[in-house]
Amino acid sequence: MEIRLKPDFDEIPPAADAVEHFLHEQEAPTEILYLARLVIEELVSNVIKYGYDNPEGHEIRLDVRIEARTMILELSDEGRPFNPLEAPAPDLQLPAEERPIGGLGIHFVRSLSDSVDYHRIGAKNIVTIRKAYPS
Amino acid sequence: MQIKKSDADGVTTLQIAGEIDLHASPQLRAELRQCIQSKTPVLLLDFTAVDYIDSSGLATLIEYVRESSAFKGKFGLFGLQKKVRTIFDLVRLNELFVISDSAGEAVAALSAK
Repeated sequence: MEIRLKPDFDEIPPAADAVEHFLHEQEAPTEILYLARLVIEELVSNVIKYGYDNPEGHEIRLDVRIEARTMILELSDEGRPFNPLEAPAPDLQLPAEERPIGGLGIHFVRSLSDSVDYHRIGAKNIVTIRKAYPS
Repeated sequence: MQIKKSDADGVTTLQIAGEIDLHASPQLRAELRQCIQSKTPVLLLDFTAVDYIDSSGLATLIEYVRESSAFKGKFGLFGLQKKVRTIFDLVRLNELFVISDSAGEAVAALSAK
């Protein structure tokens, strides 16, 4: 399935709901549903927050499919180049008062996915997430 | 997301149901701010009916722990579903919060602190 969103926070919940509905129809297990929602909320909100000087006229595209019991979720945007694989991992040794609040979302996505790939093609960031159904 | 607040035996409990996401986190933050203002001595969050939490939800909880340390507020969670618990474990929040299976265990763990 493919969804096109405007860079607007209000577009995130209905997109996440639609993807969840699609995955449910594909009999995807809970882990996959949770990851898909997390990827959409964390990565799309990052694009909206940091991707543009002016978001007007831009769109974010989500492509979700199942191949061989593996979810493949591709997110592409026309924002400034951003490779989530290069984002520093949060320091989880720090006490509460120094514990980082930013960067947790990307850490979740990277930790829970089987693979995360990034390509910059032309003016687009393309992030591809793969997660196999648990056996 | 729905939040139900109750007080018993010196323990304040917020029973939360639904998803704690980007849109719901401000509502939780507002509720937790009230607990900061009233210097709630012991606060438990009942996560039994929480289906989802993202980084905005976790950030809200970390903020509460930071701010409640000023008045030595005690804070714990209980009843996390496995999929939600995974998120806490990934960022080792069990080192910052008491996370227990039940309210009774959470109170016992906080009393021992």
